[in-house]
Amino acid sequence: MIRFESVTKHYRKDLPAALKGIDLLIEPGEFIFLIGPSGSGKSTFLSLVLREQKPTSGSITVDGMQIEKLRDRAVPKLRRKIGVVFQDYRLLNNRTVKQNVGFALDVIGMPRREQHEKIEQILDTVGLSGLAGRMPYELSGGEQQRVAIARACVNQPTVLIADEPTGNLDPETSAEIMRTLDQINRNGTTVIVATHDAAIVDGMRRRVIELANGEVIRDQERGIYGIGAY
Amino acid sequence: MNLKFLIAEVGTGLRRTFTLTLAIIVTSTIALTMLALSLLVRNQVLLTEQSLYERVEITVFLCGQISPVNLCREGTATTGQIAQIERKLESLKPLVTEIKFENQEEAFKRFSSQFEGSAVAAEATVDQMPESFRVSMSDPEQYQSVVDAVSKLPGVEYVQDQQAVLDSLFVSLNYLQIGAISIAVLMLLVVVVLTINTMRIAAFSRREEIAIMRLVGASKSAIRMPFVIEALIAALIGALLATGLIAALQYWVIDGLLVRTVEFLDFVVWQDAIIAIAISSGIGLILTILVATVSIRRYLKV
Repeated sequence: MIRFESVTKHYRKDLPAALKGIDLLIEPGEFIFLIGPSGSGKSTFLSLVLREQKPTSGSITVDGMQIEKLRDRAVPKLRRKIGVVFQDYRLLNNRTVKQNVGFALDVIGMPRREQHEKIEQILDTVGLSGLAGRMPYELSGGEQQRVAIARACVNQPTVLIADEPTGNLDPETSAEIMRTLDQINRNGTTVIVATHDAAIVDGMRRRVIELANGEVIRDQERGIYGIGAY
Repeated sequence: MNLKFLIAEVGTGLRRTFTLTLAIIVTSTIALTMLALSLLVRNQVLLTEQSLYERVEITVFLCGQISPVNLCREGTATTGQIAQIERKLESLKPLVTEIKFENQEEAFKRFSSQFEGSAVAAEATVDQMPESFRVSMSDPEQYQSVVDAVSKLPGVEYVQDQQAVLDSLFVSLNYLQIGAISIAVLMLLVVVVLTINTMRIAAFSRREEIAIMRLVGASKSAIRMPFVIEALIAALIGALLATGLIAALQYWVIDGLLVRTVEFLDFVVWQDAIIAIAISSGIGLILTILVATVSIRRYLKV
């Protein structure tokens, strides 16, 4: 699904590389935790997958599309295959839950009559069936994050990227969000969660990829957060 | 792009940049009106030249009772002198097409009707009036050669050519045209600057939406479309208002006033007004679309 081959990313020549010769293979349907301290290269990794930037050297393939050779014109096609969720939800506060989710379909040109069923279905998956008409500010943090997940997944992406999805949530709500992401994963979507939250990593026991100073220092099936725990 | 969504987005955008949009509408109205006006004035100049120059006459005033001595040393023009002047004029055919002699009676009639009711008219007498030749030409542009040929002949007081009078009329029409074009260019410049700024502010006010649009894979054109349509709507309203102003000018000022009061001139007609406003609206709309597209490209790195 996602393949990194000797990927290096330099932002400036006089600074150390943000990623150094990364080799990685993520299979379809996997659930990945991407961990590491701030500045370890997690954000660079995610932005390369999204083709917000190009690697300095090396090759990246996402769902059959070669990132470093992708033309600007083809970038939207790539992004339709990837859903993204952030720590701060990034909902549009002047729109209802349903409109926020539908926004993702509106902007790719899907007619409204084809949207209804998809939106109903995804709201059901994330457990927000009754809240379609609410405004974001009427919802709890956990509910807002579910709306964000619904928006990221309504167009059935092959990959879901979650960047610190539980950063603003209490442990109990975090666990619920992880259950939702797990549900999405069970439906066949590859899920990548970048996080500092040891509890959710330890609670799920999934593949853990740990970065430090731009290098992969651990890649472990059914891992936990703490270093050297295997 | 789905239409319902596009309309809603454009509506939101227009609300958010309402005052700037209003400014674009006002300035493009002025710009397009001035542009159309300058085109109309140009038409009017051509039309006036045509209709007036065809009728331009040279008047050769003969020495009479009240002519100044330095111009008419020999006193009132003699019959012999008058005949000589006429022969000279005849010799200038075919440039000269018509020669009409106006005697004192006719001159008095003309004078009285021109200055009717004034003190001058009341005191004037027939024998004060100068006799004259009124000369029409096939090519009014060549009036100077006729003037040169007769102005120094004995018995001629002075030669008046209407060209000089017309020239000052055309000079003022030219100034009007230059003025209108200057205002139009200036206002178009303001429209460009305003449009660039509006695009920047519109992009800023929708930065959250745009960030999400990019993430979920909206195409560049889908992201830019609402902005360009907003600018286009502002320009369209401006063009419509300008059309209204030019139509009002044609209806009330030209057809309603000038055509009725200034009978000796031809004026621009509706067809000229429509062509002028169509050209200026076209320029306005194309300019706005170009500027909006280019500037939104700058402010929206997709």
